[in-house]
Amino acid sequence: MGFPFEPATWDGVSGPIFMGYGGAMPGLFSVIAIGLCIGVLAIGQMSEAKSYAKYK
Amino acid sequence: MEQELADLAAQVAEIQTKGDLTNTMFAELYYYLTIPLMVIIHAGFLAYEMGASRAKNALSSGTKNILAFAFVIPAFYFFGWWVYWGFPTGFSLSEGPNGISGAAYANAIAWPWGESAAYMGPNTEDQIDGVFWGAFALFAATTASIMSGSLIERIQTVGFVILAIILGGFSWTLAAAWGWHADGWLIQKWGVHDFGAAGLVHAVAAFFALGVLINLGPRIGKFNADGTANELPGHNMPFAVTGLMLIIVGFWGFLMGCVVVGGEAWSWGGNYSTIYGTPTNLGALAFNVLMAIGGGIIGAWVVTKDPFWMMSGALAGIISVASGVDLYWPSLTFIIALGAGALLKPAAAVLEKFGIDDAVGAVTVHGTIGIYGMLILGVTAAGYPALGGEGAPTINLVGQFVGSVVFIAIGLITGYVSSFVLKALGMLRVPREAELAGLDTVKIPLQAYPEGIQMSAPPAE
Repeated sequence: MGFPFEPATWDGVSGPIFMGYGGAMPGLFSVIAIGLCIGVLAIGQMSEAKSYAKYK
Repeated sequence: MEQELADLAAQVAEIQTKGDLTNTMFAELYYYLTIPLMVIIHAGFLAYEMGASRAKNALSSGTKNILAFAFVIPAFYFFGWWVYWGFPTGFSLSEGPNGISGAAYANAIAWPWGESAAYMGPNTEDQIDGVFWGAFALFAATTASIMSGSLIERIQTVGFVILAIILGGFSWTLAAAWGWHADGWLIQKWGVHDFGAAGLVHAVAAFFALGVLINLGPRIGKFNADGTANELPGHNMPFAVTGLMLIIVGFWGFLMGCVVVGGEAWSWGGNYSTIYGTPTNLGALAFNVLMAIGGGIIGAWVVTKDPFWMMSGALAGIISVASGVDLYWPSLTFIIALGAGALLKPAAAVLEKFGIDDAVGAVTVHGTIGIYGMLILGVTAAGYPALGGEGAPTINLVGQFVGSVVFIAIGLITGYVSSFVLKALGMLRVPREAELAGLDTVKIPLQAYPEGIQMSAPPAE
């Protein structure tokens, strides 16, 4: 991703300073994070169903 | 002389710059501090919910509550914030009269990708969006915690988390867009005033919970064949009562977050105001919240003599005046809150008569009392301008009634429909055998009390 300002100094820098600003990375990471949440819930549901199956 | 004047002007400019910076830093810090205070609400709900569960379900109830917090926060980041800014004028997603709403505006500031990402991450020129988002994210998590307690001991974990995401990311946010945002149609058309969110947080969450409870059904053993209800007491009342006190501590942060700090570009003026741009200050909160706590506790004590209901009464007291905590006379606050505390247990009993098993009384405390507070404000504050500026709509009973109906409908419909779908998918209720065994045994790799609990003295007659 790299430092988005040239040259690499904080002098005179203002505005967004997070990694990947101005490129596709912030959106990509957001989509990955959403996917992780959905995936964790899907796996969690399967695990939970297995736990209940032992008691049926 | 000219040089002295120039030096003086430079000094004034420097002082002004420093003053502006101090004000900006104060505003940022103000909202930032509401966040940990509101986390205390969740510590309280966690303790309350675990204590109100039977020992065999204590950790399962806690796990569910912790996960609600964990998933609602990112949900509010990914789409909840967009809902708040996109929907104020209704489902048209059009721009409102203040020009700070609608799909185009929300697209510009509230998505975590594209150009709007500038407002959704570290930014040296934006000192407010992050902390303002943070305060709202905690409001969202609060709604999930309100719902959480009522469903304990029989709901599936993932099914519950999905419900929490819908409530915290969409349902309450829609209500906030309509009843809190300055472009909200409930305010602009009906003069709805709900400063401390008695309706748009508490009632929405409670009626969402009611919609879920209808599909979820009561715990095994709660009702007899003839419809009469049994007590299913929690295993640790001291823990539950302390949890309620923590919730009350946290609500100081919640109400603090409802106050807009003055002197910033996004403020309503140079002084504190409500989110509607009407005048208020922290003194108003101090007077009224403290009097509400006192009134609520006393009202519940008179009717129940039960510390669990007394602390619930304190919470009910705050909720009963939350809509108008910016305007109430403290003695009137005390009276309204006392009424709320006294109303609690009888109202909970009515709910039980309909076969609803609300394990912690959340529907009553947050729903019944939230609506009670909304409507009382329509009478007591009638004629007060609901918004800042010229020609603002005024607070009125019809408007508060319409707002209440809308908030109930948002909660009840979204809660009922989403839980109905989960039920159809087999993701709502745990199997009977698992419920009887206890959910800690079924799915928690930890024991709540490995050395047991000593039985306490029997209760008074």
